[in-house]
Amino acid sequence: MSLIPWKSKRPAEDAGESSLVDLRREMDRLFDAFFRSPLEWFERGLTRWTEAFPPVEVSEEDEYLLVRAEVPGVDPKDVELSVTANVLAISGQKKESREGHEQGYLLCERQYGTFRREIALPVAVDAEHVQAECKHGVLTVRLKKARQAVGRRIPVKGA
Amino acid sequence: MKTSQSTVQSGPAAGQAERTRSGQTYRPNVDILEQPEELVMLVDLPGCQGDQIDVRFEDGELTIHAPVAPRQPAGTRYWLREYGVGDFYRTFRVSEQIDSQRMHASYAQGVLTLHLPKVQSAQPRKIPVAVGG
Repeated sequence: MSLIPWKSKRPAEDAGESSLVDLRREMDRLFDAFFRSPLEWFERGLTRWTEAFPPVEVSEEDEYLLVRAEVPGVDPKDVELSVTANVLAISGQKKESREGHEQGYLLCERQYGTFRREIALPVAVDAEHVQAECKHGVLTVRLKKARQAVGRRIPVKGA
Repeated sequence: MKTSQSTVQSGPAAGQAERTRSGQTYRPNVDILEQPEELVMLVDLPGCQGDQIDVRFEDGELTIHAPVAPRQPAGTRYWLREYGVGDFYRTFRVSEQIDSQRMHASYAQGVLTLHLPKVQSAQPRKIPVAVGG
């Protein structure tokens, strides 16, 4: 797989400053979002907006962790997953869907290129029991919690 | 990148949520390419059902509404949420002459591809010059 740099149509920042600039932008956005609609901001709770692709969602069931990612325009064949006990790495490539690009764009908001994200998992998982599917641009990864991570009900004996 | 405000106009930046009559909707990311015979729009709509996407073109206004069903049951315990789940909605003003009868769209891998053919008179035409004897 050839590596194509992740392209953003936003103006390029100085490489050394990019993380700070990103942080600043992120803060600006949160600030804006809060004042535009404080109610919505509170309703979202854990939601935080990020520039990282793909955006993910991590949720928990009794025996499973569920990681979802929105990957519109990514061919499932171009997605790679790797799992250790505490980290799920999602990498892949979002191909530009049309030839003759760079010219004739009236609007260009979608990003494309290679991506990689490492998601720290809140509990240890069993790397042998992972299922993944990608449907309509939504990747769903179901990871079985490691046995020691599943809460066990402990009966309490009376005297 | 060329930005042409004259051909297609859109509202604020993508990815932001906005409230409409029908509740909260999300503004999808869009690419628009201009080809000689048509405009092609690529719209990121992850998690939709293709047959439920509503595309309307009326009086030069293009409206895209894509219902999105919740993916998680109510009461789900989240550790991290980087995106919201809800209907996508966006409108555009298109000043280019579009032949709405020949508009067509397809949905695959979470992306709506919309073809907006230009009416014949809006297409560049090469005019043959007859050469007399």
